[in-house]
Amino acid sequence: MPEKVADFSDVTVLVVDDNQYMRQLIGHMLRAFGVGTVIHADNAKDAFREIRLSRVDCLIVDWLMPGMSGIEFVLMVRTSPQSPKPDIPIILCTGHSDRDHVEEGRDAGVNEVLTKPLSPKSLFDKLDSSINTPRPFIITPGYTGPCRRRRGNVKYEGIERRRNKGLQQNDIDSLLFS
Amino acid sequence: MPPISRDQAIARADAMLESVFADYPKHLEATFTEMAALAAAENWEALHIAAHDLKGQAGTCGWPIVGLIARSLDAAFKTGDSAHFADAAKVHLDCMQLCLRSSIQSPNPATEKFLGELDDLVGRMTQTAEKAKIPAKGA
Repeated sequence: MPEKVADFSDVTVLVVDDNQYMRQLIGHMLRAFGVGTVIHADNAKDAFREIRLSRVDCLIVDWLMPGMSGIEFVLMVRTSPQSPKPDIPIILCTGHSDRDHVEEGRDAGVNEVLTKPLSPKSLFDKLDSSINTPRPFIITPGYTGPCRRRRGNVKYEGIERRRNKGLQQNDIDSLLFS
Repeated sequence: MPPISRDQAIARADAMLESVFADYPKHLEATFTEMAALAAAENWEALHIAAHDLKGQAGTCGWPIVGLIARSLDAAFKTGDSAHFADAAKVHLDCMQLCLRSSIQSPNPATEKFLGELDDLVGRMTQTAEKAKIPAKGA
């Protein structure tokens, strides 16, 4: 089987993180993946302005930011009447890997949750999934965001329900799309 | 740039990060200086945010032991036991600086002891906060 190739040369990613070092680090990884344009914002307000002014194809958003948090920003992008692109793919980065936080991210309407520490492998897979295999977008009175059901006919193995923190990335993915 | 395979993309990012990470110890040194200044000023909110940021960042940059200590400091602040924030900040920053000076990047048998002691400290802060009915806070 030929190896899958990815072409992000026409993609613009906006990285939203108050931590300059993390913004630069994520930017380095994205450019190595061949992402055409990487832009940055250090707060949610500026990021929202950027989405309105520029063509942005994907957001990578840190959870914990001063002022408006990553989750509040996601909700604003998904539901605000002023939002120019409510269905834009969003990857939420977080140091929290416990079940409650992952569910909160899912219910806010993120496409993917990426737990720190980040790696090129995890970032590439989330980016590829968000851009190249998007899930149907759902708008209901209680939820706006990508369909929370798992793609395709993948057998759900389930997560360890009694475990309350320290979920692994695979568990997080199961929780997001189960 | 022409389309590339997943493996090629990841390998290229790994190679690029290797050069970035070579300078990370200098970045850590500057970060610890800033965190010490925040502790001296008793700016616990800013120090909590710095610890939370470092928790994810240090592991990403090849210093998981610093990430673990930062995680512990983050947990110490979450207890809400503000009477012991200064002690917790000092001991955690001392441990981080020790690891940096000794070029200890990952947990090893020698770090088990102080990681255990940091866990105990956070456990005692949690108990103190519970007795005083101080609500734990998120970050």
